[in-house]
Amino acid sequence: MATQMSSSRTRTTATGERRKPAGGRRRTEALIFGTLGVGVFLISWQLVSVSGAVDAILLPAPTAVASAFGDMFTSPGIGADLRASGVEFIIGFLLSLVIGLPLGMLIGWYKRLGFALEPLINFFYSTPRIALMPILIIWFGIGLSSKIAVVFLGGVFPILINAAAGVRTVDRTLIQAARVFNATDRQVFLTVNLPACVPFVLSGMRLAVGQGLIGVFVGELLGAQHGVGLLVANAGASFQTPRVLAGVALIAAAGVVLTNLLGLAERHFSSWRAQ
Amino acid sequence: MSRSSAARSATNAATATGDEISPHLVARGVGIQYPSPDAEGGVFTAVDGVDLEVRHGEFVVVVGPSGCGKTTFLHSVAGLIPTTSGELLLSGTPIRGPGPERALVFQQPSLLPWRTVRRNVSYGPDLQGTLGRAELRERVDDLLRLVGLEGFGNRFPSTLSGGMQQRVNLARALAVEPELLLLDEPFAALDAQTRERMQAELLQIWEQLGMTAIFVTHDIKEAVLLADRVLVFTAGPGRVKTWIDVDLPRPRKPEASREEAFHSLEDRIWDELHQTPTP
Repeated sequence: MATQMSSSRTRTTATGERRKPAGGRRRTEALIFGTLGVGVFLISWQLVSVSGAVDAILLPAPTAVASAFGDMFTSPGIGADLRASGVEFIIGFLLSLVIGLPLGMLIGWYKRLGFALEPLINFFYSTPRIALMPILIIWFGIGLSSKIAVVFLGGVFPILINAAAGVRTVDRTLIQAARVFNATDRQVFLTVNLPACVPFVLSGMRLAVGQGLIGVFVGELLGAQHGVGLLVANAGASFQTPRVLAGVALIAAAGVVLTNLLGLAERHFSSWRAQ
Repeated sequence: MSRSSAARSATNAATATGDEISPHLVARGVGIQYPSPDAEGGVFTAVDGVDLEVRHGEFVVVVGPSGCGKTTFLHSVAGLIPTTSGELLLSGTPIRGPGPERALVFQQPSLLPWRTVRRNVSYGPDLQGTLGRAELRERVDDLLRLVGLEGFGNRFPSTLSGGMQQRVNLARALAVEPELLLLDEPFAALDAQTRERMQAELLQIWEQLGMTAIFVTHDIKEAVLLADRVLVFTAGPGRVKTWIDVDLPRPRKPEASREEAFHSLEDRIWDELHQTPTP
């Protein structure tokens, strides 16, 4: 619980200016070989589908998925689906930030509050939040609210746990340095604890994005009136496999874009970190 | 002989301003205890029955074996640790907590890593809200020049060497224009060469600004080089063992350490530190 949850990529961001050429070459190589890997994968997939070895209903060709992806945006009702999924994600995510950040900081700051809440937090964090979907549907219905709830439950814990870890891991001498200058509790919090916790919270937010997208998608699969998850569920029920995969690709793209945006923010806010 | 008389006349000049009547810092029977699970009875006595007076504008260096409570005492003067007994008076007023007229330079640079050098130096005035923007910028510029960090204002601490970080630490303490500057082994973590350069710079800065300074160290040479008077602490619990006057002339340069008088002072302090205390 005390450990920060984060992926390893944060560390590689703050490379020094002198090391830029080497870092640049690394990045170019990563781009070349990454593209190569994806290319080989797509071409093999295409060849397998075209050869007829596997039924096109089971495994449609990438080109078929691509054209289904295009068709998806012109199909009737797509606006309502995108809006529903977007609203569910955004409201659920913002709620988890608005509640998780201050609560996490309080838990990090007040040791006893942490002791009191940690068992509950650990319990909920270990529960697959999506397993609560049936009861959330009973409580909130099959509209937007049940999905907002599951996105919130998915996002609030990583943000909260990381915020608490951020507050706790602050160097004690920094607080002493502030105290020597006669800083009030509020000033210590604002000038030491809050900035120290920003990179932690951003890592938590990145985890929350992944959890939130799972929440939207699976939540809608289990029952919804609109949404990309519902679109995929309906396509699956009528064996429109290209459309199923196109829907999945849409969610995946949203995940990649959001995660990278947060990665940029992390890089920006942790530019001060040791190299 | 002429050297020591020059030093005395300097001291006389300082005392002639009426400081003899009211010392800057007075400790009377100061004891500091804090709870510690390892100690007997669960209470650790860091410092016990300390009596001392520090004059205005004086440079006092505190030496003592490790764990003798000299840092704890310094932190009490800074207002970070409350005293458990006795009186600690700053210009006649009991110390109840930190105050704007004191600043502490920590052993570790303890800079805010997300603030640039400039914004670290301005941290104290920022918190105290005493300075206008233009005035603050000017003071930070002056201080960066003083500690030789012009042109590094927009760097982050993590990009600086240990010596440079410690310069920022010093500039940050000076930014509140303290009347009493407290330094807790500020150069202990630096390599020998950097340490010597920093000592010389600190001497210059102190001679220029003239505040009272209390400097804790375990380095005898450093003590003699910097001090007007060296205060020797005994270990466990810390008590005042003796005072040693350093009557070497000022302004003092690192080369002073080659003089015979310097060595004999080092020897005296060494002897005081290594005498087995009577049980």
